Amino acid sequence: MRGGNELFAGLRPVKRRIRRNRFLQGTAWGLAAGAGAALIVRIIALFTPMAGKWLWAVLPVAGFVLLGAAGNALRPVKDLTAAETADSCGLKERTVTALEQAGSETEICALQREDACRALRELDTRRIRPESVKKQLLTALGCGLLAVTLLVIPNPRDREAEARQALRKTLKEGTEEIARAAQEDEERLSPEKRSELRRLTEELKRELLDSRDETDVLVALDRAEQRLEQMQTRTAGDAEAAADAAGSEGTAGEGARDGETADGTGTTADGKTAQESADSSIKAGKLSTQKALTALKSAVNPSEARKGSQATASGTRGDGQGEGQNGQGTAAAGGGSGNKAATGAGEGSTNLEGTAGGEKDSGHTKGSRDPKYKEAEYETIYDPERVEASVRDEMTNQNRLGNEESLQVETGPGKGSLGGSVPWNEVFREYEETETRSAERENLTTKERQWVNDPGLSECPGLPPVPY
Amino acid sequence: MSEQSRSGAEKFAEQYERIRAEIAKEMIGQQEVVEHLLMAVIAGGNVLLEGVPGLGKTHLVRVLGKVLNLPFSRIQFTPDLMPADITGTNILVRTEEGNTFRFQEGPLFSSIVLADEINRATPKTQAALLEAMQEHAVTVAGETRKLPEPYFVLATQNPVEQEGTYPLPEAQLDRFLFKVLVPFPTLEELSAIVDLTVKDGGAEAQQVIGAEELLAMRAAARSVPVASGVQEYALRLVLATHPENADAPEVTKKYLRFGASPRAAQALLSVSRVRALAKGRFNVAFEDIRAAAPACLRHRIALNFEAISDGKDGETLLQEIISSVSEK
Repeated sequence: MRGGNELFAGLRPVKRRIRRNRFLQGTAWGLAAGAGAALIVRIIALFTPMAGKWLWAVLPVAGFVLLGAAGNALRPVKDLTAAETADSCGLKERTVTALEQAGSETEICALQREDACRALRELDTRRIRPESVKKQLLTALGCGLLAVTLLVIPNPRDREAEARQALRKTLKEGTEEIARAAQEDEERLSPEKRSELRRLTEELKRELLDSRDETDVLVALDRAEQRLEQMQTRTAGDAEAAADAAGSEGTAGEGARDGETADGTGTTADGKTAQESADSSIKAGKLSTQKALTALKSAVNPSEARKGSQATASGTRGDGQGEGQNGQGTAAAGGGSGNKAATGAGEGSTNLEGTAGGEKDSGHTKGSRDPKYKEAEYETIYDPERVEASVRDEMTNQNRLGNEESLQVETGPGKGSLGGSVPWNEVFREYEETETRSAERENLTTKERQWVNDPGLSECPGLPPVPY
Repeated sequence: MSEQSRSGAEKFAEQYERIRAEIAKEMIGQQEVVEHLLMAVIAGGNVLLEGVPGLGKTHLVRVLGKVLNLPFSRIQFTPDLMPADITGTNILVRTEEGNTFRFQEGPLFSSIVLADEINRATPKTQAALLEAMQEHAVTVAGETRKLPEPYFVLATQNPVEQEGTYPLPEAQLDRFLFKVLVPFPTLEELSAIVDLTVKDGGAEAQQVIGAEELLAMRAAARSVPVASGVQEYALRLVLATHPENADAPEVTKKYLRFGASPRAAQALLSVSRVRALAKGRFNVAFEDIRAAAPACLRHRIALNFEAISDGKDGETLLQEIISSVSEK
C-alpha cells in the first residue's frame, strides 16, 4: 500500500521531533528530581557524617538527568501519538483520520490519505514544541541553590566524615603494615607462637574494621598490645626455662655433645640458638608487630601515642616508688591533656620499656623517668582497665606541673587491690580529676576551678574544705 | 478510483463555492443562513428558520431553487389550513368515461417547500408535514405517494406574535436538521438591500447544478471518513445536553429539562461531513463539529423553569455546554 507507506514515512520527522522534546522534558524533570535528591542528601548530611559531599551532590543530579533524559527519549513513539501531535499543528485531524483509514482502499480514503501526506510534507516540525518545563526548572533552581548553600556553609558533620575517612585510610595502611610486621615476626617464632600471633593480628584486623571511631581503634590497639605483651612474657618465660634446661643438659652432656655428629650438635645447638635468639629478640622488645602497633596508634592519635612513648621512656620505679605517692595526694589534679590517657585504656601505662606488662611475680621493672620531673606529690589514679585478677594492681600516676603536659609514671605495687574496697585516698584523685574536667567543660569561674583543682589552696567562700 | 466519483469529491468544494456565490448575487448578507441552508440541502435535511417577517426568507428559498434548478413551492400556514390542503386530495373529475377520482397533488409535491409560519397551522396539519419531511412521501386515502428527490422543507417561525399559534412539538422539532436564527440585517446590508430593490437590472442568480449533481454531492459527502476521536467528540457533545448524565456539565444539570436525541448526533456528523468537503478537506475535523453544533442542538434542548426564572438565554447556555466539552 503505497499511500500507507508514504504516510508512515511522513510521520518519521514528527516522531524524531517528539523524541527530542521528550529528551528536553526528561532532562528538566531529571534536573528537578536530582536537585531535590541532592538537597535531601545534604539535609541528611547535617545529621549524619557523610564522606564525599561534592560527589553526593553531583551524583543524584547526574543520575536523575541521565535517567530522565534517556528514559523519556527512548520510550517508543506510537504512530497515533505522532499523528495527534502533527494534527495539533493545524492539520485538522488529517493524519489521525488517514492513520485510522490506512487499511481502507475506497476512493475517498485514498484521496484523504494523499491529502494527509501532502500536509505532513508541508508541516514544519519546529512547530511541535515541548510542554512547558518552567515549573521543573524553577524547582531545580530552588533546590540546587539550597543544596549549594548547604554545601558551602561549614558543617561539623563534614569534618567528622573527613576525620572518619582519614581514620579509615590510616587504619588500612596501619593494618597492612601490622600484617607485614607480623609476617616478619612469625619467621622468628615457634609454630605455636606463630599461630597465636596470627590469631592476634587477625582479631585486631577485624576489630579495626569494625571500629567506628578513634576511641574504638585505640581500645582495639591497646588490647592487641596487651595480648602481644602477654605473649612476649610467656615466650620470654618459656625461653628462660628452655635456656635453664638447655644449660643443665649442656653441662651434663657436654662431652656427649662434643662427640655428636654435626646433626645432633646442629639440632641441639641450632634449636638452642634459635630459641636464644628468639628470646633475645623478644626480650629486647624488637617485635616488629609491636612497633607497627605503636606506629598505628601514633598515626591515629599522636598525643596518645606520645604519652605512651613517654611513659615507656620514663620507665617505672621499684617498690619504693610508692613514696611520695598514694596518699600524699596534694599534687595538682591531672588536668589537661593527660587526663584522657589516665582514664582511658591505660595507654602508656605499661611503662616497662617494651617488655611484657603485668609484672606478676618478678616485681616492677624499673624504667627511667624523665629527670625534669621531680619526685613530688603525685596523684594516684586508679585505672581499672589495666587490671586483671591475676595481675597486681597497676596504678598510673600523673604529675602535673602547672600547665605543662602531664606524664604518666608508674608507681610501685601494693597500692590497693581489686579484691576488696579501694581506700578513699586512692580513688579520690581520680574523682578529683574527673571533676576537674567536668568543671572545665562547665563555665566555672577561675576561683571555682581552682577550688576544684585544689580545694586546700584556693579561697572560695561558701565552699567547704575537703576533709583529707 | 473511478473518474466520476473522484471528480465528485474533488469538485465538491468548487461547486459549493459556486452555488454560494450565485445565491449571494440576490441575497444581501445572511451568509451564515445561506451556508446552513446549503449544508442542509446537501446533507438531505430540513431547516427551521426563525426570524421576524421581511428578512428575505421566502426570497432565499426561491433563489435556492433557481440556483439548484429545483421546483419550489410556498405554503402559507394559517390556522384553518387542513392537511389535504398541503398534501393534496382526490378530486372528482369528469372524463369521457364518466366521473372519476383523480389525485390532485398538493404543494408538498415539490423539491423545495417553504412552509411559512408553520407554528400557525394546527397540529393536524403540522403532522401531515411531518410525514413528508421524514418519509419523503405522503399518504392520501390510504395510498402512499413518493415525493420527488431531492426533497427539502424549509419551515419558518415568527418569534413574535405567538398568540393563537401552535408551537411545534418536540417530536416535530427533532425532525429538522437545523434551526437557524435569521438575524436582522446590519446597516450596510440594509442599505444594499434597499439599493437592490429600487435599482433595475440587478444581478440575477443563475442555475449552477441540477438535481443529479446535487444527489452526487450528497453521496460524496456521505462517504467522507470520520476519525473515531472526532466521532466520539460529537457524541459527547450530545450527551452533555442531558441533565441525567453524570458527566454532563453543571450548567446542563441545573438549567436543562431534557437533552438532544440521537438524531442530533446523526445531524452533527452528516452536516460536518458536508462542511469538511466544502472547506476542501476529505475528513471531518473537530472544528466542523463545533461549527455545526449550535444549529443542530438549539431546537433539541429545553430549558427548565429555573432557567426561565433566572432569565437564562438558551443560546448562551448552549455555548457554555459546547465550551465545557473537551476534544480529547
